[in-house]
Amino acid sequence: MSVPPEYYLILSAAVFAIGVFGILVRRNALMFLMSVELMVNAANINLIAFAFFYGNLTGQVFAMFVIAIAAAEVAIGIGIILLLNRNFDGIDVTEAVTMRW
Amino acid sequence: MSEIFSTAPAIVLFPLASFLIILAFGKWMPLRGALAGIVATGFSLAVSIWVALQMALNGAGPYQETLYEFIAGLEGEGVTLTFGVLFDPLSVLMLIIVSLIAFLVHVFSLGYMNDEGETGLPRYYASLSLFTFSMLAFVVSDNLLMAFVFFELVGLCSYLLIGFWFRRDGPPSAAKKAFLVTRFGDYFFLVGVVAVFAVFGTTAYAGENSFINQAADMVGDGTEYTFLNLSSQQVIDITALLILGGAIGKSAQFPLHTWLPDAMEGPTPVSALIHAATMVAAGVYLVARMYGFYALSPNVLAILALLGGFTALFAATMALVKQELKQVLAYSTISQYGYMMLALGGGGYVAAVFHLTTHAIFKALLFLGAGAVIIAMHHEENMWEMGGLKDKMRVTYLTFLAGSLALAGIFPFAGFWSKDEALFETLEHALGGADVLFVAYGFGLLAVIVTAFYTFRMVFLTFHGEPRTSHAEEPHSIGWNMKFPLVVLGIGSVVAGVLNMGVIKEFIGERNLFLAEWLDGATIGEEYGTEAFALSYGHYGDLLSEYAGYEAATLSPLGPGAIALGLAVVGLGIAWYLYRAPEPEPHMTKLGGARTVLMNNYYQDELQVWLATGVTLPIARGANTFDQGIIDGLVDAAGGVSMYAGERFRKIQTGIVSNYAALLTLGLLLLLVWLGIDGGWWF
Amino acid sequence: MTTRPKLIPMGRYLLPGLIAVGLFSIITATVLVGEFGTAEGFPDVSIVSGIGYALIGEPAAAGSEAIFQNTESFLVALILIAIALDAALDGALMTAKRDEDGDNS
Repeated sequence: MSVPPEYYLILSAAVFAIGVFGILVRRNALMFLMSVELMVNAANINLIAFAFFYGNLTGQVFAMFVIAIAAAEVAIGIGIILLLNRNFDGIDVTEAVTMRW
Repeated sequence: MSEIFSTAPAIVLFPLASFLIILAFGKWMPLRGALAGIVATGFSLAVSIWVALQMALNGAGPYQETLYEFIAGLEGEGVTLTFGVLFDPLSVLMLIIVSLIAFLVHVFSLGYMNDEGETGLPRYYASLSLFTFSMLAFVVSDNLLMAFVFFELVGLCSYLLIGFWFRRDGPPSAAKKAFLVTRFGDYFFLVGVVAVFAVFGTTAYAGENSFINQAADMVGDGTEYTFLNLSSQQVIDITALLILGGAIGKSAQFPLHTWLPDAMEGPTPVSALIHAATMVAAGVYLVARMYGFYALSPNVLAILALLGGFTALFAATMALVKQELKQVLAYSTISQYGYMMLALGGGGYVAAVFHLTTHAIFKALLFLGAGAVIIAMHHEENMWEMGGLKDKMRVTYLTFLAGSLALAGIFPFAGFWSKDEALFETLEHALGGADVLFVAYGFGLLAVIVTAFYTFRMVFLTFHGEPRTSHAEEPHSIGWNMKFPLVVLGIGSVVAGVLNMGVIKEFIGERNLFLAEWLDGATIGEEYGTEAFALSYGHYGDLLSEYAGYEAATLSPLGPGAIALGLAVVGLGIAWYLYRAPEPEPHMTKLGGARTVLMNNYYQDELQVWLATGVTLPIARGANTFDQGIIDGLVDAAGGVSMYAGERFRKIQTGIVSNYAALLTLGLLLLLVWLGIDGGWWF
Repeated sequence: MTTRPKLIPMGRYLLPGLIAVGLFSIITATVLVGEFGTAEGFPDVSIVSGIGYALIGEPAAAGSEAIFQNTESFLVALILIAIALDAALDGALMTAKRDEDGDNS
């Protein structure tokens, strides 16, 4: 009575799509970063699902690494948002538009 | 024997060497280059005479050699372009004429240019030497292409020399006009040369495979050459007419005659050399050289005769009213070359060459005499400012009179024999069946009276009567360097008739018509007149009767000769009657409106200017608009499209990160869809 | 008085929404069509020890079950991740530090 893998994958796809929507729509830079985290976690769900289905621990170890990388990335991202705040007086990504035509 | 001919090209190279020497060192030479020119032309003259004597007495020649092959054609299909020499009676005769006149003109220039203190003399003598080189090379060239090259070079030298005094207004414009009008004719010549290459594969005059022999075979065997559905006879006709275009331009026949009167802006020795005796002879020489080709088409011969006759009369009428000495002589030149074309068209090859020879002598004499008069009158050219010079310039007067009598065609001077020969040949062939030649003969006959009249009007106004101005009372004396050429040419114009006294051939016999025998190759080797050198007078006679249908009626030359002589004397008499008074009246003004037309040269100059500005210029403007508007417009539009598209496309970079992310994701989506459909993920 | 029915004003959310929905549908369609092999669950052993052994490079030493034999070695990845986390920490500190020292860099 194990759960068929399709469910996990569809869940992962849904979370990923929500993450994509968040990236495209969010104005606040911190919310932007949270959406990126969502996408990363969706990939994690996918990895774990396959690891469980095929009886192979590689997926789980890989997922651990992904979590670690996501943490590092957020650290850097927060740093960038700090600079963004410094240069543009606010963290609205739609207002930092000097690199354009 | 052929050692003579292997050194004979030196005739052509002496003037080239003097050209280079004068060009390099002219500034430092004592006579500014005159000596180099005189030495070079003297050598050329000596070697030419020696070659002629070898041909006359020792039977040397004919000789053809290819000296340089500058484009080697593909075997079997390409054409080979070469430079070579051809020494046969006609070319050797012309070599003597050219080098003699060039030599005398160089000597005369010492008096006309050096003694008058002209500046820029190295340029003058260098151009004269270059001209002599080009003309001599043209004369000995053995194929049409080489002839064309030197034809053009001669035109260039004419341009340089007419425009010698380029700081004035007139000469540069006249030089440009001369160059452009002759160039117009040369365009047709070039098309003709290409046509000869295309049809016959070679432009050589001599050899078994020369284009002349090939053409005769083509017409004789009836082998059809179909290009644009033309028969071979038509192809030959058209080619002959195209090459005639160049001859018309260079020899100043109607309608391309307008440049020659304006060319009188150049120094008078130049007019004597180029525009009387040699360059304008190039056209006639070309037709005579290729006479085997022209003899194949009766249509072209008829056109040639009519054109020549018409030009003779047309130019003679314009000479009636001119007031400047050199202008009368210029129109006279046009008219006399009309006689030569008339002779060629009427089947009188020997007559044309004979008139070429005698005309070169007496016209150069007249021009040099006019030059002496102009110098004596301190560069005054209007005849109405002269008068009474015969007592003060005896040598000039006597030689000028000899030249005028020759020009008018009075017995026993040279012009009588040659002009009568020309008219007689035309009449003979006209009576023999070519009726169109009667019209041409009529033109020529009318022109005889007019010629005699204007010639002696000129003589009487210039030399007789009372002096009309102070310059005429005390003319500047001229030196021996101007008198010497006048005397030489004066003797020539008296005795040159002996060459071919055709009028009295019944009394002296055919064997003593020296020029006819010479051109028939009677003194040289057997091969002249046969396949390899089908260039003899006898051969041309055969071609004329076989292909052009020119039969000679049996007619005594005494009758037509007497008629022509009588007309000439009548013309002389009228001139004497009208202008012999001490203070002659301007009788020509009584003609009223006709005189205005004649003074304006039948408005031919205006017509040609209108053709250039009213017809050619709008077409050129239209073409320019097409080029700039449409073709350049297309190119500019291509650039414009690019810039416009760029303007639009750069707005995509808004700077907003979310937009970039959206575009990224959209691209990913589309890529996945495409890969999925292509890879069959879903169906 | 009522006005005609209107769509929810979506404005700038329309295109991103479509993109997200499109992405979801593609992935779902691919997944539903795909075939997976036979299911095998995890046996009743210590997963974490297996993960630990895999991390240090000896996955087979965790035990003799198939699940342990099939795992790969992640030694190199461990080292690299350590370096990457270190670098991230330093980077974050540096960015924050420059911010405090003054606004001229």
